[in-house]
Amino acid sequence: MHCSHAVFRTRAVNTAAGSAYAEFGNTKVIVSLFGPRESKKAMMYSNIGGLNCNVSYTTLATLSREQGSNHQEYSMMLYKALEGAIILETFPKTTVDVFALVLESAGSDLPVVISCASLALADAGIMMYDLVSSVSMSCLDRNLVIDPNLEEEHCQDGSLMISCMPSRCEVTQLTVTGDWSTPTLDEGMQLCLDACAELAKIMRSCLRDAALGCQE
Amino acid sequence: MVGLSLGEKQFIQGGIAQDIRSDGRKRLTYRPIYVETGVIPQANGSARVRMGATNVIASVKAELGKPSSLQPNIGKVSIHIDCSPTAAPAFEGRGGEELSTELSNALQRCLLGGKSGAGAGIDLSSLVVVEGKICWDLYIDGLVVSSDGNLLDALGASIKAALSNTGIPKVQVAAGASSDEQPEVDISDEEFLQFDTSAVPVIVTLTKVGRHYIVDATSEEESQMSSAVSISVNRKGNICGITKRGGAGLDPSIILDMISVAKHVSEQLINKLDSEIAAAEAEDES
Repeated sequence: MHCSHAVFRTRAVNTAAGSAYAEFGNTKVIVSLFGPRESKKAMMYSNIGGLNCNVSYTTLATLSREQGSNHQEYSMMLYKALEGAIILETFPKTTVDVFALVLESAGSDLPVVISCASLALADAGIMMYDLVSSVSMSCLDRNLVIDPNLEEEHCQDGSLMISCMPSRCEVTQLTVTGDWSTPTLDEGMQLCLDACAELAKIMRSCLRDAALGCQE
Repeated sequence: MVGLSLGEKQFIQGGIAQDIRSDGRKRLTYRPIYVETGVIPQANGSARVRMGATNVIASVKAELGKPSSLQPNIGKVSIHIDCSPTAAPAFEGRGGEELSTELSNALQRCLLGGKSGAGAGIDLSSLVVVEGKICWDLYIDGLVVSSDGNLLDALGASIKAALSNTGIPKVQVAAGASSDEQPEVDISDEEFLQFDTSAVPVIVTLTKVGRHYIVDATSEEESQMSSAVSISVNRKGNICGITKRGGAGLDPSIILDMISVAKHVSEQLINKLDSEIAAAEAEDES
């Protein structure tokens, strides 16, 4: 099970309101969060808070020194995964800015970014309904592989990414590509949901350790 | 869109709960779909689809290009959607960019399949001319002319129709070229290859309002949604892509239920679309 080599740390960036660092195998992501603060973009009054997400890759993140073209898409997908979990009514008129930086990309980047971002939100004390944990899975010739690495992603026949709030048993985001038959999809979703629940436990224990560490 | 009053919102929600929507449709009924093909003569293929007041145009252009070094035996397809300001004044300039990117990504996900090429609606290996050197690059452009909800389904249908209208010119490769040089090609003006679009999936968007799902939501109904799931199903009944939109979380059992509803609805939609496309092509030729 992949969760055994997941590493989470909070308080990675001291100057940010909240931050977290995550490592899944070779994929390393750091997320820092600023806010709730006044937003320069949103001029109109709004009685719920705003969320602004930005995902970027360092130039040394991928094997070849090129910028991938899915950055904008990832920012939007991070926003969608988190918007269902944050209680936006608690910070009206202000915005929370989430900046994610992928330090090294080795497959399964977006799920790590989402999980790390929800840890950063918890670290900052932003009110949420539940932690969002996210897992992706690849279908290679009818074998289902959780948390694929780069080579597996390149030759996958289909991919499934789920972000969910495990305690509420609610899926905040789901994307599926490739050719899936319904039973395979059922099986895949169930496996991913179980993995998300396990991942959430690891995230919670990280937060607990950080809180206990602070009190000493 | 004009804001809705509380009474209007309750009317929409109540109607959906009782299986009668504001325009008289049932929850799983589509609006009448009209397809016209060949609307853009300069493109290799084009189609215009109208679903109620939603009007979208898709065009396919093919240009010769070089295949990527990672996958030298398949062609390339890029899908780009543009939300025109004629649809809504908010779309002028950068305003429509977010929606356009979201739609482009969802369509790429649904139509292009997994990274290995499996499950792709379009057979990319048929786009190769000379392996490793020359292939066809397909540029699929969608334009949203007027928007009254359910853009993704309409765009998916119009891309399917545009692809079936597409003719790729036949290419003669000059014989005797050495393996290092770029071979010479002669693009025929007269002979065309038609695309096989039987594997292209259709997209069914299920919008959840209250406790029920509806198909083909108008923009008023979309404003009341808690979440929407767009499911792409091909003729064989396999799922080719799923995208969830909307802020609220969904129970996984609801998602599985939505998938089975989508499969059921997609059978009728595929048949309807195919007959409309065939009728449009017949009219185009006459």
